[in-house]
Amino acid sequence: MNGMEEVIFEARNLTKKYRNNLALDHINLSLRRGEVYGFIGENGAGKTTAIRLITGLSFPTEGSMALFGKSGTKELQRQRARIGCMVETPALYKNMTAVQNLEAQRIQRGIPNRDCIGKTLKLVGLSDTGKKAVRHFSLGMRQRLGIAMALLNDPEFLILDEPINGLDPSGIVEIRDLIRQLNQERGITFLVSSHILNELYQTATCYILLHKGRVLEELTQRELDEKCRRHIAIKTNDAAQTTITLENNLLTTNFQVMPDGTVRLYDHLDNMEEVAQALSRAGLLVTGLSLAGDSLEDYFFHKIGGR
Amino acid sequence: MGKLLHTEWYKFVHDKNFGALSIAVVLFNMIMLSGTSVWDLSGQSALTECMKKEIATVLLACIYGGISLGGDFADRTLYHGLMTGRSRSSVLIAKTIVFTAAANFLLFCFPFLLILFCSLKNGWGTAISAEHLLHGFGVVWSLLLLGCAINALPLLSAVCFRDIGRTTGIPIVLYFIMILLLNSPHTAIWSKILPAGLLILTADGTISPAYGILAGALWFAWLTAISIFTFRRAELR
Repeated sequence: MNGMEEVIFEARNLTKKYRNNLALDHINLSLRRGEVYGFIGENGAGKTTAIRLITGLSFPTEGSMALFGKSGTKELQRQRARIGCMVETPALYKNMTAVQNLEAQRIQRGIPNRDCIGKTLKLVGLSDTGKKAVRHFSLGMRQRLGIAMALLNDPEFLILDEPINGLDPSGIVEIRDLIRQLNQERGITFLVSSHILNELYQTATCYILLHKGRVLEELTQRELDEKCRRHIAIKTNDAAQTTITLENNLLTTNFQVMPDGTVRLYDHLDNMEEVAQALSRAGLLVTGLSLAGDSLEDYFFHKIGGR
Repeated sequence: MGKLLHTEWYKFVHDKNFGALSIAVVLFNMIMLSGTSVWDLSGQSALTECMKKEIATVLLACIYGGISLGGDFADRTLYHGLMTGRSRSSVLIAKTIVFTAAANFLLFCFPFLLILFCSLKNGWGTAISAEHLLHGFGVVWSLLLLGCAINALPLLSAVCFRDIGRTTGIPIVLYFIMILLLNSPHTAIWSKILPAGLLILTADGTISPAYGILAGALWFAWLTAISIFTFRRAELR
């Protein structure tokens, strides 16, 4: 098996039910080594539930998981030593300094050399926090320290749940660069969940779209780019009449009405003139007609049938 | 387990709350006993007297339980161990060992200082023989195990509720219920069952140290076992 194709995490029919709420509904996942997975979904889609199952904080109701090819309670527990994770808000010792937090983590992980603490703090830009207790840290600084805690053991698989929450624009860029750097230089596999889809688009190499506890789609960056279909963005004085015209005159239903009234037509991409003429003949006032493509955000909402 | 214990010890050493609570325990007890004749008692009598006034100290130990155990659950710092490949039982046992030792220190630091002071000032009260030393050794173990039993209440509460408020509050309520039962018409029965009563009875010699050791160990083992059982099955956030 090629190293780059090695599956480091696999879920089969993974299900999690909380009383009457089905948080994860028989999901199947296969994460390959060396990729940066963007975990996409609305609040309550099941992203954090899936992460909790992987990290051992929660137990599946049904289905199975395998980490680095090993499954079963004991083996999964053992393999978790090879991963790093930050679930939701960073779990930090608030009365301790950044160095002391990492020292506690170093002791727990059994890392012999203390040098890793300074190096990791430098990596996340927290070298100069001195004796400042974590309770006095800003949200962004806590987020960085949470990432540092997850990175300390040089993990093979790093799970970051909303890692850019609370970061300022420069912090977001730094974390993005850090993920890329760690992925490319150390070959770390990432599973990153984020609500900021355009940000995720700049980091991820693969995407997992989750909706209401189900995996809607698992696709690579290339597949996404292919699927983020180009379309004709039509802006007229009457969106409803525009859709009727498209259906009756151009014989297509392959369009979508956006909240701002723009109609996205996915057909007739090579024949904009014909579209313009049809709209004009229907007495519509066309204020905009241009060729455009979906962003990751657009694609996601298109898939879940929202907005 | 060694690494988990080392981590818990490291956290304990850097916990400023413990130092503050230790000072508070000593000061609070000194204020409570100021003006009383306890300072003129022999070491042996001082032991009995101070055990009767352990209530306030137990409350402070409960607060420490809330901060230490409840805080670890609320901040999710206890879960680091799980994510480093350790079993839930090992993580909780390591936490229990360090917490119980620290909470027992809070419970018995003032009695120890008081007995030491009274013994040096007024003598022990009886002639010290090998038999007395053996009995004293038994009493110390009995008190320590009963302290462990009392401190296992915040542990169970922390595992069940996983926040600071209820981890602090529920053991305090339970302790007050214990005191109420000890003052009920059935005092004789309750005092031989409940750790708070056994603490006093062991100190004043009403029950044998062996009985105190057995009861303390059983209470501690039972409460810790329920805590571990609960934690092993808990859905953590």
